[in-house]
Order: sequence, then C-alpha cells, then structure tokens
Amino acid sequence: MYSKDRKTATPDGNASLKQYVTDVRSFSSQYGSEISISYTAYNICGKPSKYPAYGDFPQTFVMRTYGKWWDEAPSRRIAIMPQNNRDVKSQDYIDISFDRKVRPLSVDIYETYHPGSVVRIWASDGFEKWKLLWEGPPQVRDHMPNIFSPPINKINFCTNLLRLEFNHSHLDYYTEIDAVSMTGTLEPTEPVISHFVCDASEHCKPPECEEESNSSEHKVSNAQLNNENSASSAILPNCSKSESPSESIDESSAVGKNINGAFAILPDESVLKIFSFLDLVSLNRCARVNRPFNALATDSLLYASINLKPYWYLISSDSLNYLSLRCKYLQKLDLSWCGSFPSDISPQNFCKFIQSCGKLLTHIRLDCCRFVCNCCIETISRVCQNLTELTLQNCIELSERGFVHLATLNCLERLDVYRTNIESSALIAILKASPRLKHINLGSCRAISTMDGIAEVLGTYNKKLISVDFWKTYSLTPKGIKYLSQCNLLEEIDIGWCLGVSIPGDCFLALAMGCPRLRKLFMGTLRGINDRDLYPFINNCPDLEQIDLLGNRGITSDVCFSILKSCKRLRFLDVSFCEQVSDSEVQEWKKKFPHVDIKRSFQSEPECTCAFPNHY
Amino acid sequence: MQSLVWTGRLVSRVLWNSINNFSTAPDPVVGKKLEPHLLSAVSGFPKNFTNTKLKKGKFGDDAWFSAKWKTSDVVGVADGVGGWRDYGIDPGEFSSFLMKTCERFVSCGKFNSSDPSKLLASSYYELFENKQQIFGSTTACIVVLNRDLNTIYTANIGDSGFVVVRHGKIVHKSEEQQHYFNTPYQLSIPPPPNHNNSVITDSPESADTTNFRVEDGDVILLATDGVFDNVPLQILLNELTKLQGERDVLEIQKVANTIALMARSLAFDAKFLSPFAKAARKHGIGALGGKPDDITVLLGTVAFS
Repeated sequence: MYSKDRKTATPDGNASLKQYVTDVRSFSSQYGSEISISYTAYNICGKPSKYPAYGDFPQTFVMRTYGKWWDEAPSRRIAIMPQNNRDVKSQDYIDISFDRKVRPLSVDIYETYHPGSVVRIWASDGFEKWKLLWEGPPQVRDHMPNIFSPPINKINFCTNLLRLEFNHSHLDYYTEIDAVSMTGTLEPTEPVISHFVCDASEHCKPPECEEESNSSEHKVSNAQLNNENSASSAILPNCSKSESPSESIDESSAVGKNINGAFAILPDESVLKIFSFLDLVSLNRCARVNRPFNALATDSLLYASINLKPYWYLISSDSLNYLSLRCKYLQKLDLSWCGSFPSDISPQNFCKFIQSCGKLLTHIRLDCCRFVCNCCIETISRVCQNLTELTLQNCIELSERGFVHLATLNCLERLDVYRTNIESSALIAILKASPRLKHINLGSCRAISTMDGIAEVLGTYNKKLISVDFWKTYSLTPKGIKYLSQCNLLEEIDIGWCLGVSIPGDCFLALAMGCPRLRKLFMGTLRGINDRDLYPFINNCPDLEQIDLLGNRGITSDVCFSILKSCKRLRFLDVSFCEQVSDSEVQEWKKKFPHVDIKRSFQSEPECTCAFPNHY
Repeated sequence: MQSLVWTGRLVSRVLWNSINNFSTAPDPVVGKKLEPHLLSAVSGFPKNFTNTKLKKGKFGDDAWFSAKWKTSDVVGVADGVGGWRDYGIDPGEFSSFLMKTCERFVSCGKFNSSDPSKLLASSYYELFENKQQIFGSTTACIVVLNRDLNTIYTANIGDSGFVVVRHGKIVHKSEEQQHYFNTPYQLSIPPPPNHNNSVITDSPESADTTNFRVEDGDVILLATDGVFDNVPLQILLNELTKLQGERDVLEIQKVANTIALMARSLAFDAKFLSPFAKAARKHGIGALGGKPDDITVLLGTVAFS
C-alpha cells in the first residue's frame, strides 16, 4: 500500500523515483501515546493523508512541544556547554527510511499545521556517514498547508535514510507533518566533478569534495563542511594526532612563548577563562596553534562540561576514547542523539569512558542514545555516585534489569525516563533511594502498571519534588493525584491525557490545597472535568503561569474568564477543543488580556456539499 | 418533474459510488500460488438526502471502508445509532471515524489478519486518543479475507451483518446481536457525565467472531440493517447467486446497486411486510411496511488468481 513509487525521467535521461516514507527508525518525541496511532511519528509514513487540509489532525506526526513554553517551565533543563550549539538549535528529530536507495534530488515535506519548523535535513548511507542536505533558519509562514522542498546539496552516495531536524521555538502551536517524499535517481548519473574549496581564512582544507557554486546558500554549506571537518578533527583522534603541534613548532620553550605573542603576558588562568567560552571546534583549532596554546586548550579544566549533542553525527567510540584523555574533571556530559548507528558507539566503549572519567559526573544526558543498554546503566550507577541528573529519553533498549541499578544512587535530583520501558518495582526503588528528587518525567512510560503506586511513593519519599510529568500514562487515577498533593513544593504538574483521571472527584481540591506553588498545570483531555474542579486552583495557586485545558468538554467560559481575571501571572492558556468555550469569547479575551497567550486549535475538513464533489 | 429529479439524483449517487469503487479493486498481480482476492463494490443510500453531507465512506449515519495490506483484504461497515441526534451529536461521525481508523490500522499493517475483533477494539480505543472527543454509538461488522489461509475472519457487533453465498446456498452468515427488539449491541462513548448508565455500552471484546474457509467464486455480502431489515433473505439470495464466480467488478457493482435500490424502495413501501415488520410482529408490535434507514451494501466475490 505504501510508497507507490512513481518513476519519471529526469532531463538527463535517468530514471527518477519519487518515494514516500516506509518506516520510522527513531525519533525524539511524539504527541501521541505508545499504544495509539493518533498524533504519532509513524503517521509520517505513506502518502499524505490530510494534505491539502490545514488543521490539527490525529493522522499526522506531531511532536511533544512548541514555542518557548517548555523552556520557561520549572522543569526546564540548564544547557550544558551552550557555546557548542549552532545558531539554529535542533530540538527534535525524526529518522525516516524509504524503500529504495537513491541519490536525492529533492525532499518534499508536507506540513499541514503550523509549518516552518524544519531546520536541517540529513542523509545517511545507512552505516555511519551522515551528510547535510539542507540547513536553514526556522521559517515564519502563513497558516496554510505547505509543501516544503528546500534546495538540497548533492551527495556522492545513495541513500534511503533521512533525518529531519526541527526547531519549533518560534511557532504558535504544534507543527504537524503529514508525509515526506524523496525524489532521486536510482543510478549514479556521472562522477561528480569535484573542486577543492579553498578558503584562505580557514586553516584546514576540506578533504571532502564539494561542488563549486556561486549561490550564497552553497557558501553556507561550504562553511558548514569546513566546520564539520574541523569538528571531526577535534573529536576524531586520527586527524588531530597526525597534526601534533611539535611537528611545526620549535622545541625551545622560550621561542614558544614568543610565538604566543600578546597572550604570553596573560596569566594562564586568564587564557583559560577566555578559552572556556569557546566551543569544542574552536578549542581544537586553538590546540593546533602552538605548544603553549595546545597545553592550555587541552587543559582538563576546560573539559568539565561537555556537550556533544550538536556533533551527534561525528561521535564514535574513538571520539570518546580520545576525549577521555582530557576529561579528568568531567562533571556534566550531554551525549544526547549520539550513536545513531550501532557501529558508532559500543556500550563497552561507553562503559570504559564512564569508568575512566565518570567519578565526578553529576549530569548525564543520554536522550535517544540507542547504544545505551542495561550494562551502561549498571556502570553509571556504580561509578557516578554523585549523579544528580540522568536523562534517558527514548532509551528503549533498557529494561527492568538495568533500571534497578539506579536505586544505588541517592543524590538524584532529576530523572527523565520519557518513553522508556521502566517498570513499577525499579522505579519505586529508585524513588525511595532519592530523597532529593526535584524533577521527574514519566511521560509515555507504558510498562508502569500502577501509576498510583508511583504517586504514593512520590508523595511519601520525595517531598522536594518540583515538577512531575505523567503525560499519557493511563493508570493514574484520582487516588494518585491525592498522594501527589503531599508534595507541597510542587510547581509543575503535567497530567495531560491521563484518562484515568477523567472523573476526578475531589482530587483537584486536594492538589490545589496541597501545592500552592503551582506554576504550570497541564490537564488536557481529562474529558470529565468541569468548572468545579478548576476553582480550587484559582483560589489557592496565585503563581499559575501556564494552564492547558485542551479537549475538556465540560468546562465553560465562566471558569476560563475567572482564571484570566484572577491569575495575575498567567501567560499561557490552551482552551482548544473546549466546546463550551466559543471562538468569539476567545477573541474577546485575547484583546482584554493581551499578556496571556490564549491557544485555540482547530480541525477543519474540506467538506463536499455539492452533488458532484471532487473527491480526494 | 419531482420524480425526474429524484431519479437523476439516484443515478448520480450510483455513478459516484462506482467512481469511488475503483480504489477498492485489487491490483492484477498474479502470484505462483493461487490466492483468493476480494473483488468488491459498494453501493448505498442515506435515509435522508436533504440534510446529509456527501462524503466518501459514508451513507448518512452508515460508514464503510475497504482496505488491504499484504495478504489481507479487509472490508467493514458501521451503522451509527441515530438516537444521538436528539443530544446534538452527529451519529454519523462516530461510525465514520471508527471505519476510517480501521482503514488506517489496516493500511499501516498494524493489525492481526486473523483477529478482526482486535482491529475493532483498537479502533474503538483510538476514539479516545483524538483531541476532539467524538461521542455516539455504532454497530460494526468487519470481514477480513486472509489470503494465506483462504479463510475469512469476521467480527460483528450489533445488527449489521454478512452473508456468504456459494452455489445458491447461504453457507455462512452472521448472527444478529440484540439486547432487545430494535436495540442492537453497540460500541459507544457517551458524553460525560454518564452517571445513570442509561447508555448501552458494549465492549469491543463482546464482538461475535467467526471464521470460515472460502472457495473460489464465493459471494460475500456485507451490509447494514437498512438492507437486512427491508429485503427478505430469499430475494437477497437470488441476487447474490447471480454473482457466483463473477470476476467483473462492474457486474458486481450492478448487483450492489440493485440490492441498494431494492432496499431503498422497499424501505419506503408502507404496505410491504418487511423482515423488520415480521420481527416486530413477533414482539407483539403490529407494524407494516419497510424501515426507512441508511443503506450500505458492500458486495464482494472471492476470486482465486
């Protein structure tokens, strides 16, 4: 049924093939739940099902967040080594595969709601190499269905695996992707005529071939390419070792000082301070200037916090081995998105790295790292006794056997196990061992059988809890909410789509009374809640900033107006699909309360009303 | 003049249905092993022409789908329970969403080709995953032709149903599931609060499931109660027998149209002792005439190729 391939002939006579996505390899987040097909990543497969309709449809791929709201919530994460991030940061990704390998000519992305979030497109040869096809800033577009097909770079291999990266921080609401098609040629057309791009200002020549071009877009990509190569030499051992500074620099240390010029009069500490603002690529370039610079730029103090996420496509086991020489004082490590192929990073190598550099680690982020297995968790639990933050989003390889080891840690302040297979017993042991826990994300954890039991433990043992995310966990009931109300410091609670709380009884009264500091309250589609359940929050939680009431049919405009009037700090209110709240009232409120961002999503089907409709 | 307009409309409906039908015709792929394929056609009428929007996969409150994936052909019908209209809820939306979701599950391969009740259940639970909650109730019947096992697997909840005809004889048919007269089993999601439990809710697991080995040339009729309540079984049998071994989709379409039109005219015949009226009399209700209702006919023949 899928990928009804369409063959056409290109002007140069080669057969070109248009394919739709056949499978999703991995992704960083999805709105839908694990057991459902609504709003899930898999909807990106096949032909467009909704395009050219525009609206909020369950048949599309929707990510978990948008805008700045999650970065302003109490649960936001502090960036590690933010200077590594590109100008355009990627927030989410999806890896999609196609039936047949082609040399891509164009990639079409069918955006059916809030378009403009795609910032990068990568192509992979399926083993280890990723090449950038396109990169650009997030775009501001009209509220119209859109086929986004940016001009893409030529690559010198055939591919059937693409990665799309998204930045949706500028969007008003969730972006929705209906389908992606890739058009390409089956056979290599002709050997690509290659030119070395020589840029005098750059130290290193790119060893890769790139077609010369005049357009500014391609210049960007050349700079990007150089950047990539430098980065790879920073992180890959082979390049850097061969360019040892001793080859080019005089052995005498005095001469070395002279070479260092004005920097020589600065104390080392000052230079280190300056270096500490550099990203990994620049640090590596500095390390290759001369011997004193090399000594400073490879100083372990500069490698206390490392963020490798922006370089996910370069990181391999070798990079870890190489970095381990510099990471004597490593405290924070962000390896998220790295190791997209099994050959990139092996669990054994990761464990070796943690064993040699992990003693002081306090933060480890391993979101979407597919190499993470039970033995990695065992090693982390054994070595990193001071660990305060561990994020394991989408680490689906992990099982109960791995998670139980985490119960030996007792400094944990943040645990993020979104979309993992963690089970109740391991989680309860971890929670009991971590009295300092402040943030926990249990979103879409489908293996937890009794969320009420978890809530009971949270309420009893984790009194310092600040944020809790129960997104799309179906076993939570009003009983669990009552337990949670014992966490009096709670500032953020996300119980969106917890359908077990549909008939809440008086649990929200208990929650509002017990947690007066609440700033963020997400309770989308609790179906049965009504005005009476919301008034306690208005009366007891004056700090409320973000409230999500999506899909709650029972609530009326009265309570929404009260919220807008009484919660002085309110900035965000989602009343999409609240059928008792009319559009005109929302328009009125938007004028009256301009400091609040009031969200109102919609579904609209093109209706056929005539006798002979054009059917799609 | 009025009748001319009506006739014109009926003809156009039938035409449009035939156009829709092209998507359900299977690819002419010939495998080494002889495999059964379902050649199918659909026809039907909404009960009320004036206030219904015309949409693919819908006849009034009835909905249908036809999809295939690898070694399975799947067809299904659903009949939205009209009583919800009094509560301001469009009964057709529920059945239509259920069928569309079934179609999505099938066309992405996320279903078990020998367990249609599971497919029905997943689609039912999917209704809760929509941001815009859809309320209502529906009956549903799904038939899966499993090409590997030459077997049809069926799941039926309520009074829609199917009939398998071989050489002029009914060899397999669905059982009607009713709580009491004219109140079939139904899948439903009532709007909250549902404290008094006055809404009949049957779980998708209570679906009646059967399986039956098919042979080349078998005729399968899948229809909503708009057909079975108005057309006597013997007349249906006569029509279906004509299709024994038929491989021309146009011929199948013709018979489907005939059955639909027959059901439509009998439904509005006030003097006809319809199967519905007979059943009513059994329950002590002195009724005569057909039962005006939405009509959906999904007709298929099993062709080995």
